[in-house]
Amino acid sequence: MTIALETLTITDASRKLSHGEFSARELTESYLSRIERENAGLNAYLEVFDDCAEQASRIDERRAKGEALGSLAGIPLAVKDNILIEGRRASSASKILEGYRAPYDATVIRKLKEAGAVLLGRTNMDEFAMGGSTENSAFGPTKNPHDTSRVPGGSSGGSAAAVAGNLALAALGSDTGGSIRQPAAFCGVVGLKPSYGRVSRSGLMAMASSLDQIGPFAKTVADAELLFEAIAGRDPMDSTTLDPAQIQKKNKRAKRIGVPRRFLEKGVNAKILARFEETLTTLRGKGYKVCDIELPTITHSLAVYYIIMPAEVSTNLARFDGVRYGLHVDGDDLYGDYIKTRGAGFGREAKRRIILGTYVLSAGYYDAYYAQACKVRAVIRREFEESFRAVDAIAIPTTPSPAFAIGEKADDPLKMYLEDIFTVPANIAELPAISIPAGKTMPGLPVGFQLIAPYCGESALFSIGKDIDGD
Amino acid sequence: MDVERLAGLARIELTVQEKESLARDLGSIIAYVSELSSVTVPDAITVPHGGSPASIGGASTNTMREDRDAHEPGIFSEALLAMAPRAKGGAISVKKIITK
Repeated sequence: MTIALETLTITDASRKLSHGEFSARELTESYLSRIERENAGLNAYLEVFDDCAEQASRIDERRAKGEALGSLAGIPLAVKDNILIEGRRASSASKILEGYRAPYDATVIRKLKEAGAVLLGRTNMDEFAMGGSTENSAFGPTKNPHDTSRVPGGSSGGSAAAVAGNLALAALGSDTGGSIRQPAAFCGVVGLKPSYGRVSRSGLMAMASSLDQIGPFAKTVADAELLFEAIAGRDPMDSTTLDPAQIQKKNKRAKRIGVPRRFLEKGVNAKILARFEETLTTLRGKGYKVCDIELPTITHSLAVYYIIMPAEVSTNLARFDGVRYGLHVDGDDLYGDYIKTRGAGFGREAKRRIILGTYVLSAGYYDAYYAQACKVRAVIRREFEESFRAVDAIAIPTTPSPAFAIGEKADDPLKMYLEDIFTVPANIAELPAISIPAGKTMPGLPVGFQLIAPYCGESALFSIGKDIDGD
Repeated sequence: MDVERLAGLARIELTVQEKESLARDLGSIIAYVSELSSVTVPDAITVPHGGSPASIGGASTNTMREDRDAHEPGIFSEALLAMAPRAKGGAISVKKIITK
């Protein structure tokens, strides 16, 4: 049987599964045959699981018995390689985790399994989620399905390419400075970074713990919402997750959108700006009030990010030492084991960030870099809080330029970092943000429109987002 | 910037080439992030040493739990030790660090 995967959404698939138009097994097999044909060219998956058809058949059997099924029953999903699935390999696309198998399920995976999802495989990424192009994978770059000479973005590039290339119906990624939203924009899919504390990170390999969040990739805003609802919630295994009682429900419909114009004055591709303005015009046509706002310190978000993030990376990645798990390279003594294992196991960008983090935290430099960055972070947060008194959401493009060519920025880290300019503010301020496809540039590359909402204001992102993508 | 000393602190062995390219890259990154020194921070904003400033999300308090309901000792040991490159007699094994 042929299922039209290009136009399929989770909402459609769930309806068709429950009406018996196709079975979970047939749906999963459609994806598997597509993966078989396309994955060698895209390198979106590092591994496709060998039990996908069995996972799907179990859902079909339960459905046949009339059992109550979860919200994602029979839905085939892809998972970024830094999220643990019990018994499966998990490498964060790094050589240093050679041979490692996850001893337990991440909380988000447990929730997806309970919701009945079929887990297709683990997707390629920049090593330990460090990068904006998926070129920093130890297993080769992922290609953008819209133009295979270009990057899919990163670090969750494999998940974005899998959804855009119809190799999965939706996927999970992680976002520390834009690693869900930027690849979503480059690949023309929806990507959500939830508020800090909405989704448990238990079982996510930590990169920068004050910034990391797990979130969904999907083809529509409604699908992203469904996936978010399935994975969100308080988790005793992650003490940064919020008690639902702490989350204030807002009943008023979001109607006011602020644009920090000055932030967009420099370095933004003209076609991206044109698509951005068109989306604002669409929103005005649907009754939204669009106004200019000032966020004077937001321009410093990237510098704050490239101090706080490496500082946290240097401590989090200390655990990869050739003793606990993964690669071990023998030296003369224990110190020798450490330096040889880490020297051989980490790629170029991981080394760069660990050493940068070591520098900004070292005696004599701590106050000038790390402490100052934490203070400026607090100023940026406060400016966001103040601006949300006047508007319900803030709009900026997701990226300053469309997907770039593979290799184009690989030798200039600072140029690569500047790609994150519009995505890091939401991580710095712990706010929820979404990237929604909003047209294309002239050569046919997707463009992302980004919305940032007040803390725990995901519902505003979904309601405005649906007015943009039209479901 | 003394890349060699930092790499030692970070427990990473670098090749001569890596040291050279890192010194160059880190120089340009540090030059970029140094723009923060020009930002005037209001006196009211303070940051505890070693910690992130109070979160806007209400996570500014520590989340504690009772120190009880521990799992049965040893139930995860086998699975975790199976992942260690060197293990012996129910423990992770490392090279001797104290010499006479």
